[in-house]
Amino acid sequence: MNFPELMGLAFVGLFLGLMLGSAFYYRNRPAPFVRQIPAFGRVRRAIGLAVEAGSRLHLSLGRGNLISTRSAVAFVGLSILDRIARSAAASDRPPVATSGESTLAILSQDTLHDASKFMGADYDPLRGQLTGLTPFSYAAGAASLIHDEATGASLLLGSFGSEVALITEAGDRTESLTLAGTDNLTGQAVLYATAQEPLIGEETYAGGAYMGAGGMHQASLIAQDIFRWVIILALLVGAVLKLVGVL
Amino acid sequence: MAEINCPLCGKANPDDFEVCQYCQARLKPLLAPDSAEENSLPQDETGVEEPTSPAAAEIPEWLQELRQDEDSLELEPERSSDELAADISEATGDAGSIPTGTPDWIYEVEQETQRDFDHIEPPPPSPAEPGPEPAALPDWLESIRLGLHGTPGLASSQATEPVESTGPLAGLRGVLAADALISRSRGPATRPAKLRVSANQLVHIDLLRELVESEGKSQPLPQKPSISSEHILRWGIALAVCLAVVWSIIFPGQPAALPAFQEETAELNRLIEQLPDGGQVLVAFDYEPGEFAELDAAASAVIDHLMIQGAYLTLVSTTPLGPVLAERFIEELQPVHHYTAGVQYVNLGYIPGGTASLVMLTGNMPRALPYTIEGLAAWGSESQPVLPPLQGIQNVGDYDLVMVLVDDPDVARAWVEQVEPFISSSSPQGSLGMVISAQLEPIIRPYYDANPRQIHGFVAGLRGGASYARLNGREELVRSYWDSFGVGLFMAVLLMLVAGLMYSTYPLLTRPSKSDSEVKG
Amino acid sequence: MGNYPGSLGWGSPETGWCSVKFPFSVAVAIGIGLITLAGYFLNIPVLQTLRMALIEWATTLAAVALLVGIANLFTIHWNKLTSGKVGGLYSAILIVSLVLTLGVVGWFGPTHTYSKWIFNNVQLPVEGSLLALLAIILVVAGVRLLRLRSNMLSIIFIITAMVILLATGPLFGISVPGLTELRSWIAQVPAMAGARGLLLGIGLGIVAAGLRVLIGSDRPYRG
Repeated sequence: MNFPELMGLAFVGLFLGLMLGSAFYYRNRPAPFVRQIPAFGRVRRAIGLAVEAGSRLHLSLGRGNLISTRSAVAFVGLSILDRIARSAAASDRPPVATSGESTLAILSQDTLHDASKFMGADYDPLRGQLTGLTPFSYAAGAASLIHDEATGASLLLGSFGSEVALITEAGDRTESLTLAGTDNLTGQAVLYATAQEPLIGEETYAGGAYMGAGGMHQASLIAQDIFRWVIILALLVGAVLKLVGVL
Repeated sequence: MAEINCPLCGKANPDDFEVCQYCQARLKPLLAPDSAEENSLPQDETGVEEPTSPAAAEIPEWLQELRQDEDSLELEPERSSDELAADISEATGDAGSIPTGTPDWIYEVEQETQRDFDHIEPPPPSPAEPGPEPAALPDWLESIRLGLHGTPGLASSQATEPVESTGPLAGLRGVLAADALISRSRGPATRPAKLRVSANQLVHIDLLRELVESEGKSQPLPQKPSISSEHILRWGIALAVCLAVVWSIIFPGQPAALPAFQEETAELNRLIEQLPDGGQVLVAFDYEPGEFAELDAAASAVIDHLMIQGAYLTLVSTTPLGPVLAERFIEELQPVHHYTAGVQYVNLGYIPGGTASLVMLTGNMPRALPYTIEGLAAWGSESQPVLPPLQGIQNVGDYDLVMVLVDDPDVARAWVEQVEPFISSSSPQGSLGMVISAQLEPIIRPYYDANPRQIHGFVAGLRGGASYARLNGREELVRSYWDSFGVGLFMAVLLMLVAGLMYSTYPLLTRPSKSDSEVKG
Repeated sequence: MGNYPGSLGWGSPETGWCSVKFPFSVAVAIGIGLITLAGYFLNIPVLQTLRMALIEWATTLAAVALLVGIANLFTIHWNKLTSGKVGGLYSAILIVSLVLTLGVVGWFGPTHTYSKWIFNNVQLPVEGSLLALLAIILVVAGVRLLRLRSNMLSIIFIITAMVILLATGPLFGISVPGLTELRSWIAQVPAMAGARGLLLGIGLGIVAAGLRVLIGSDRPYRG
């Protein structure tokens, strides 16, 4: 095993240890967060309003292939879909999920089915839709669904490229709240200009913790924040050492 | 000085004090106005008279208002209870049989009570038996009774009252008749026939009536204008950009010069120039059909250069539609080279699993991608030799150059992080080059700037493709896009600039001036 | 520093700490995840072989899932068509196109003239039109950005976008001194620095999400 591989393994091990340690330590006490993300508060409010008003909630999971790095953000989207499906199970018009990848569509149906079963509500398999297999066909399908269903709020949490602008535009036309986060840098730049509530960088991955998707989400967020500061410090130290000629 | 004792605490106060100096209780009663003063005072608009007593000034405001309300009740034009009941029944839509002047809930209680008493029948008449003799009062007692009730009228009325004929009170006059009381029907309670309602209350009644009436009616939703300012903005921008581009195509001016080459473009050019004769190149078509215009234009000169060098091409893709795009690219954009499938190039099609399966290219390629897009055994069979582009190839490290045409940052990163280390470690001559969409430049450049390089040269977007075309003199496709591309970009910048200035300055222009706000304040 | 009003626990909020049920599917997922991860870091031949075999299985499953996805797409639009919902006409067009394309490509092969004709004359123009529409939408978004979020960041965003756009195109053959250099500097220094920072954060998020799945805390698969 060479040095980079050893470092990688150590990093993963340390991260896992920090997650489990945080989960154990904060299992019976309030977990501290380094920052607040107001967008998630507004989403919770939008969910409540949508349930009261009988309007549809829409969650789009993007095009993340489950056997690629894009799967991570798709998992976050699925966790939030589970929370939303449970929160809005009592609604006349339960949430609907769209995706641009077939495995993701199957998982979204599974998640909605599980949430409906848990809440004792009816399940309609059409609530988990694959709207297209190419980026633009997927975005066009999701946009038409937003329009047809007159959704009250749209959450776009997954892997999106620039095509996400077609979906946010549809949300804008129906005057519904659009919260969006992606792991794709181009998608993030587009979302900053088009979405009402864009999530920047790793904020998307904090979604589960802020939406109450489980204790381990909060623990992993604590680990993320700690490692973020460690990396910042390491970069600063490296820059200073480079500046003084040590490195 | 005379003193007056407080009626509340009993302490002495000077007699000119209005209130007790110890407990603040009023020492003197409030005086009512005399009639002469009352008539001389003006009336307000509603006809309510102003308080006139000297003490009125000391009456709290809330009390004065209360008194005014009471006065207005008396002074308002009276409405009969019938009118009011008619109003209410009209408002509720119930022209029921409730007697006028009786609230419906009282009426219901009365009706219930009446029903309770109705089933009680009067006691049957007692059998005729001789009653006791009427009591004979002595004279002295009779005179006392007359002295107590000495009114003749009263005496005469008593004379008309019946004499009890049964029971222990037999013989007494004026005994209350229990059965008569029970059986007597109870009429509505006597109340003032007319309800006094103020103008204010009338307004409230009307308002309540409207509310009750409107409750059952469906309210039409506010109609959205079919053409809003947002629509005009969108259509205006679309028209401006489209017209600018179309204008530049229909009326082409002096063609603009293609941009000078960048270092990374020149480096890619050098890599292709250094390919050995009959070099083998793996070309990945990893872009979506929607991006074909940009990537075709950017990659056209690069693939053209590869064909000029006589390279054998192996085409693969991690997107399902990539193989079709690759076929189209070779046949329609590079027809002059007459590349033939299975001879100069081979299309191995889609790599199932996408970027996750890129790692399989570093292992056993014949196992990962055994067939061509036409269904032929690419790596040879008993009846067919290995196709020329694949001779001597077992994994991605055997290629002289790996060229990736990509529009997705994740896919580009996957190639760099999963495949490039294997290429570098397998062969010192092996290189990774890319043709990327312009949006990927900030993501890909760090891999080029790294030491050692993880990408050995790249072309970014139409601008990069134009500069590459300028290097090898193959400008046809890029030239057809370049001028209109510039016009479209300029129009977009112009629109953003105008809107930016407008949105920045408009709030300043519409903000009320300081003097205005002071006046309003 | 804000506090989240809740306590941590393993699994879903409903299950809480240490009340996790581990069905068979979770055990399989955790086992395969650990083997793949270990095979990436540890250069042990058995692990490497296992890892490659598992990846091959995954790719095969992904290809099958593609077919399942197509079936799902067909089912959704078929139900939409038969239930008479809004947009039934579009669903009918989709179903006809899907069946027709499957028939032609399946019968003649993907490189046949008919298949290429469908791709070149239907698929490419539709996707290209959507990209053109996207370009217009992005210009509209740029125009409206300052109205949506009127702050310093938005102003910087817009100015940067304008500089990059102006320096990317030919600009009527006019050469503005320093514009190309400014574009290069923006692309190579602030944009790259920002991108690296974002990628570091995203990388941490990916590790966190992956580990949650690996330890069975997050279960996108139900079992």
